[in-house]
Amino acid sequence: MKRLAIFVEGQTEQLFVTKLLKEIAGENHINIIQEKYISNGGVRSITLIDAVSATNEKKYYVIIRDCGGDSRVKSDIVDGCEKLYQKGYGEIIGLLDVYPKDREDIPKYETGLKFGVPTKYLPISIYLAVMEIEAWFMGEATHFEKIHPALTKELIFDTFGFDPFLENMEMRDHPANDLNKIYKLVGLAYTKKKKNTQRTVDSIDYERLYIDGKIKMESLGKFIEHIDSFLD
Amino acid sequence: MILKSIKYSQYNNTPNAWTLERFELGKVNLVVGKNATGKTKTLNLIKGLADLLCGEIKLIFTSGCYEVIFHNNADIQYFLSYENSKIQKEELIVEGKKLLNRGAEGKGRIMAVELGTEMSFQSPENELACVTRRDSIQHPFFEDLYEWGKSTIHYPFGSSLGKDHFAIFVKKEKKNNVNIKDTSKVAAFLKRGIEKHGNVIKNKIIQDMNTIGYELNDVGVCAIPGMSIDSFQGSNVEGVYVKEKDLDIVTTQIEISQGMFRALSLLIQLNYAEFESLHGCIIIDDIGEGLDFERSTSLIKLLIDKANNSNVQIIMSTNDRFVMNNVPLEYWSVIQRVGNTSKIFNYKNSKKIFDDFEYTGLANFDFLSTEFFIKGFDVK
Repeated sequence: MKRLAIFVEGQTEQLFVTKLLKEIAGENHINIIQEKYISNGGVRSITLIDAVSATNEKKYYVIIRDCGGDSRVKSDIVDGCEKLYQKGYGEIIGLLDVYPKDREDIPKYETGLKFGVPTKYLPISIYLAVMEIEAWFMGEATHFEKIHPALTKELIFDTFGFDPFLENMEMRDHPANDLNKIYKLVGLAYTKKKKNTQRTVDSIDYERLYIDGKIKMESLGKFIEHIDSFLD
Repeated sequence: MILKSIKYSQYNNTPNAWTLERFELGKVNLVVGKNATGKTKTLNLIKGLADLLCGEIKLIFTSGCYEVIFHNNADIQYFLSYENSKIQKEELIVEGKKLLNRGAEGKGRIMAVELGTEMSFQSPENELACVTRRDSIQHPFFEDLYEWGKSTIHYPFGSSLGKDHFAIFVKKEKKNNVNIKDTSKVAAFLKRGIEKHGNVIKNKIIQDMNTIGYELNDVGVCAIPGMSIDSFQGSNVEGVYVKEKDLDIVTTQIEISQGMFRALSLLIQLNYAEFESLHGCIIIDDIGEGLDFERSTSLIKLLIDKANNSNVQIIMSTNDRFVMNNVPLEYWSVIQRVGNTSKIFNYKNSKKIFDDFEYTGLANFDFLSTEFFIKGFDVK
């Protein structure tokens, strides 16, 4: 059984990556364990959130850890990598938003994230969602009409002046904001509450995301490429 | 007035030599570093300078050299060097004008402001001219140094901070102010503070303790049951008490935990000094020692807020990883010792490295542990 640990900055990323893995690998082939870091008196501990379709006969075993903030992802990877190696994990992936850093800082951020990464245990790769993971959601634009039939391409373009079907949503500076404003056109909101996030995550067409989205959005493409190589 | 920079050396060209390279300070300073790099020594030498400048102490080491810049609307440069307990040179320069220039044998020239002229003088070789020549009319430029020295207080947070000290208040004794620099006299600070300022100071202390997570509804001074001293028969031995919200009775100084007492002692003394308008520089060594994570980070946040909203300057030191991870790097001064020289790395002299660290995604403690502070991304 191949084992992978994915460290993400929040619940949104955890829900999305869970769904993405199930769609790409097939639900019957993958164990997914969702965990969350909790800070208690300055000490970090891990608590189980959900063991999604966990059985012993599946080919892949993935834990997805919610680190509770972008400032914790790399530190939690560095602190946790030795134990994961001892437990038989083959690699670690991290996923962070660029925001609130600036777009022009991306090269520096990518270089900086490589600093101080232990190399003696298992391969560690940290990916950036440009500028936020919500860009990937917006880039799969058919999901809008699944959220509400009135959220058409024309309405979005006429109101905000951009076309998520044609344009690269990685060029939006604060896509989470954009998403919320778009949903508000029909009286809904995009918030960090699990119910709201899950609604968006469940509305995405993962086949479209996998085929078209990863070509249009380079940061998504890099992330999916790595997932693919794990699932080979 | 704040301490803008300090450079110090002692016993030069001897096996006992030690040098602190120029340390540029801000309003809030957290000195961090590995053990034996000079954190406590640095805080102690700033305290020593303060005590010298207000005449609290005379020269305590036989050799030393201070190069200091203060800032109070303008830069105030002060230089003091001494060997074999004799002052070799003492200078004061304000806005580029040399107002005091004193050399060997205690002889020098000093500006007499009211007379409008320089004059010669001779002070004892082992005494600072800025102390012996204090004269608010002729030499008013010494007053800032004196006030700074007088109101700079050093709190060794890792010590008992007065928990093992109690008070006997003799009724007939004239109510003098407590020596603000004696950080063991907690009961006296609280008693005098309440006598002078009433419930306002008491409520402020309670509020500060609540802010950092100790839920109190009263503090005060009371007789410690069962405690007496033979030579003071008939007098109560008194100490501090707290009344916690979830307890029916008070907890006296003997029973208060060391961690809570350290926080309480510090906040009593800080508030006393504030109410007496006595704060120049607050020096706290081993901040957070003995406190749990939430309380130590809350206490530091309280102190940083106090510094940012007042004229107070704070210089703290810590070894605590959790404290470091919760104090922004902009306040850090990392001290590194190579041989007998300690060097400071902070935002003022290593801005790019400090800014670059944000892009590593690592926790603050790693800034120290990976030695990123030395060369940034060039560190192997």
